Amino acid sequence: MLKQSALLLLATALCLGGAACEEKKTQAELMAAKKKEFQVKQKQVAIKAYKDLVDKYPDSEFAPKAKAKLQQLGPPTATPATKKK
Amino acid sequence: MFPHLRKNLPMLPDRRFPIAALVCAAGALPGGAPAQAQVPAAPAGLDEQMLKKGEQLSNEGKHGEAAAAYEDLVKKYAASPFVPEANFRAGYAHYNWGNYDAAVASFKKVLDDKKAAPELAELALSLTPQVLAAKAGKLPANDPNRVKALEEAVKQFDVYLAKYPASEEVESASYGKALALYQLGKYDEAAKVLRANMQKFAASPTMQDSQYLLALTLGTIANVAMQGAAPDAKAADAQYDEGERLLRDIITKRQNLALANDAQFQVGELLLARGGFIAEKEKQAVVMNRALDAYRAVLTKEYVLQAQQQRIEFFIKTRNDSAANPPLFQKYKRVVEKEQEKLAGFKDRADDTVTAKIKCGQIFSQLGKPDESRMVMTYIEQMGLATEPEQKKLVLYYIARSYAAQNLAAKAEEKYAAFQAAYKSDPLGQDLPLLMGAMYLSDDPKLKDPDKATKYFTEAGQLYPNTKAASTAVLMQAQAMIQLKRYDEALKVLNETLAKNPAKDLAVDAEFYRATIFAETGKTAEAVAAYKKVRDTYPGTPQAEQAHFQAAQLLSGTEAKAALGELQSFIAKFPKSPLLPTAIFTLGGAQNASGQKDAALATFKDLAAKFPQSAPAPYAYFERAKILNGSQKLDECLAVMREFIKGYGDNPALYQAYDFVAQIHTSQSKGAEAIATYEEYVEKHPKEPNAAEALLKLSTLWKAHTDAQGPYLAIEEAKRVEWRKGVEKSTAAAERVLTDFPDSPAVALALKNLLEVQRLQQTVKLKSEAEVEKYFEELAAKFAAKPGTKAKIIFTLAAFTFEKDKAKAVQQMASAYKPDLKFAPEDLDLYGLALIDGKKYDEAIAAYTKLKNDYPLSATGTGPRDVQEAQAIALAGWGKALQEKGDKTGGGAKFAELEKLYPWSPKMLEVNYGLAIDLHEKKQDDDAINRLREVIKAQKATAELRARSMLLLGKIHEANARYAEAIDNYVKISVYYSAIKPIAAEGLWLGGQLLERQASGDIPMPAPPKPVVKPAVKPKATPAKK
Repeated sequence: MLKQSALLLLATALCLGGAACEEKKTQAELMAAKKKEFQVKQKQVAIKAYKDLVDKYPDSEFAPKAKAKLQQLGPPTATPATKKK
Repeated sequence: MFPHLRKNLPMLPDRRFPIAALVCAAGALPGGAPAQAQVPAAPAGLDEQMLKKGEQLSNEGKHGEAAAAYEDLVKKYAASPFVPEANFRAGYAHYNWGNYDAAVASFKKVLDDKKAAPELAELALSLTPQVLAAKAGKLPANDPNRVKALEEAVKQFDVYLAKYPASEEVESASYGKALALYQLGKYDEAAKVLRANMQKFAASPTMQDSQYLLALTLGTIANVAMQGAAPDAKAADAQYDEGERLLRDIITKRQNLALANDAQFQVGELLLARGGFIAEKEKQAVVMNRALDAYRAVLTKEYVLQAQQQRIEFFIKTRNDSAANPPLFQKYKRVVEKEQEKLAGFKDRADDTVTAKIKCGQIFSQLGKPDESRMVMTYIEQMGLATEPEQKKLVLYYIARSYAAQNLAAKAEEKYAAFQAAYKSDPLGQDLPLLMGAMYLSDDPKLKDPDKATKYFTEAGQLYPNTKAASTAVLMQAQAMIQLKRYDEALKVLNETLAKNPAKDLAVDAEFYRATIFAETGKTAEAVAAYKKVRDTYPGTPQAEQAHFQAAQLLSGTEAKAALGELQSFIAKFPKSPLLPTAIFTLGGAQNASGQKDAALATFKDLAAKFPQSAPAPYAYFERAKILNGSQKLDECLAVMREFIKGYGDNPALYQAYDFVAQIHTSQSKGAEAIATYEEYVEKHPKEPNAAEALLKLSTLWKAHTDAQGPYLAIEEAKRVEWRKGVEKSTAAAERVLTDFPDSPAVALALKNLLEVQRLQQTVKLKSEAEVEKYFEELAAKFAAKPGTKAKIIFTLAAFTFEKDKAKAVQQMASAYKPDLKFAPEDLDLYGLALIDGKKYDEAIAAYTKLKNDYPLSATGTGPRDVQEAQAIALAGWGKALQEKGDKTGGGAKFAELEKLYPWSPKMLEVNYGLAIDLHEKKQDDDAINRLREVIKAQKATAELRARSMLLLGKIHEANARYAEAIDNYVKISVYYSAIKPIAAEGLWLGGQLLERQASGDIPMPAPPKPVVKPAVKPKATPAKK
């Protein structure tokens, strides 16, 4: 009975300890994901800015440089459609 | 009171008894010498000898000695039968000697003497009131004895008329009584006596004398009435009309040519007085011109003397023809005597034509025709026509007045000095120092000399102390100082005046001016209190009415709710005030400001309905439209503006109404309706200067129509048709601005539209670059005769060339630029900026120096607004050229000068931008950011300047590691100012690079909790105005 109780406590402790470990990992990952998301987003906005420059002001002295940047940065990533609630 | 009538009392017919004739007759009276009549001729007794001695002395003009001789007789021979006659003659001698009281006393002795013959007693009684009237005539107007003498004369006339109601002299005595009543100011009584005389003696040859005096009396009654507090203009008009009719009747009948001539002159006098009371200028001019006609018809002295001589001859003949009828003979004998006395009076009088000419000069002066006035007066002066001192004075006065009124300073000074030298402190010249002072407060910078003005105002006080002129001088001095913004000095003058407890009319003005000073110096609370003081202390005055309005008006700007009560009480209290429409308009504004929008709408509507012709009525429509627009009741708003357009077709604000309507259509994306609105205006008012603005709007809207069709190469044919239509219509409207309004400020923007439309066609390959250049070259050739417009077109062409070939662009501008050609400041600015862009800083500085010289300020550093604006442009360009050249201190100095002298100038925005660059370089970024934000917010700033400011703001944020703000500013330039291509492109490029650095992690992700320093300033949605 005692052994059974000790096992149960261990399982509970393990279970609780596992839950705490998993929480710590999620926050770090979230931060990293957020940063990644920010960087991806800024890249997309940068690509849009360069593309606007090339499209709207093709005669501008900055247009050739923007074109080069666009080639370097690659095509814009498709933005996922917003989920309808 | 009425100098022109008063002064002409001597022109009244002398209707005294023919005294000389009566006195001569007295000797033949039975009661005068009964003994002689009964005894044969014998050596005269001593008493008779004394009587004859007195008669001889009288004939020699020794009236005092004659009176003494007669009185000696009475004293020595009290029982002599000659005593009554001696007393009578003594009275007459005293009268001639001017010893009126003694004369009256002598006549009284006759009247008290029971031995006096009845005829002699009648003569004594008839002469008594005349002597009293003569006594009054010699006394000053303000002497109480004068009134006493006149009242006694009236009493004695009544005694005579009661005692001898059937006498031949009743007409004459009644006339004398009426004249005395007139002189006592009892005009109604005088008129009554004269009307009775005219009726009773309608056939008398002297009846017209009463008619003449009645006409003058009626004119005086009307004048007095019109000077009252609440004149009955209708009643006065009736009296003027009757007076004029009576005078013209005398003129028309021509029974007595001398009197007819006097009547002619008096018609002029009556009309001159009448015209003086007419406020409406046009109506006044009509009456004054009739007065001029009357004066011009006055005849010369020679003619009058000749006519009077003929009249005497006529009566002499009539008298002689009546020899068989002794009473008739005696009557005409007296008439002849009267007419001979009149002839003597005419001989003593000045020529009436000269006086009439002077009156004409006076009328011209009153009508604001100084040239005509001076011409008449100078003619009189040069021909030596003015013989009387009074005439000479008037001539000099009006000449001086005319020069001062025309601001001809040198001549005015000369004539003013001459007048003061000859007639120092003469009341006639009271207004001359005021006019002289006012002349030196003229807006003409060559003439303006406040110190000289003050000198004349001071002189007015010295020459005419305690007069209206002195009071007015004080007020004018204060007013001058208020205009010169020397408020402290003005207040000092007013406070000093008020400290002396001045008369009410001066005090009320002084208090009112004090309130005005407070209002103008922004001391609203003090101003409101001061206006209320005027309102409450001087009720019933025009100043109190205006002060009530001003207090309410001032309150409406600061405390709308408090103003409501004041405005409503003003409207209730002064329903006939000329300020009423403005008060109602202000009430509407105060209601709106207090949130009472429905009440405001009703008030504005009520104003337009009740006072459609008042100045604020048109604005009431716009106020209603603004309220409705704010409430998004656009259909009602459109209806109000259409109502205005229908009712005020000639109003200067008409275009604003069309523009309002079109803008609402534009805001509703109804471009076609907006275009139709502007087209309607241009069609109906093609010559109005605002048509240029409407055409410009049309050009812009048609261009927007083209843009709305989409990229030309990607759209279907039907849309391409619309695209091309937009291009054609936009071009046609812009070209019409150039053709019909080549000097309009809209030309620059029309050319900008033309350039954009040409570029659009070039972009889609409908035109080549060469064709665009050719288009502008041909357009420029069309305006060869208009160098200014041609230069602007070439400058536009240069702007097209600029992007690809800056050197060529500068060359093109240089070809249009000519130093001897005066360019519009904005055009020259464009050239200067192009030179700066081309790094030709010295040439740019030369261009801006030329601009500064082409639009010079006056010696005092002032000038009209456009000149000041040109100066501001020159300083801004000059500063920019120096700054770009590297002389940041020099550039900053120019900007600082501009900021100090012309803080209101739109160029200040450029200065703020320029200073921001300088400040950023000096690491004073906070100040730089503030200045840039001002520029970006300013609706008057050009789109390019706002775009540049956003770019600089972005750079400053970037330099301070505020990357989010920097990116926001960089990228949004292309959103708000997409047309400013180089700046928008640079913004995207710089923004893209920062974004890329953020994407690579070179710039860390901003921490979420960190507060943003300040959000990027969002520019207003309103398009930039040049």
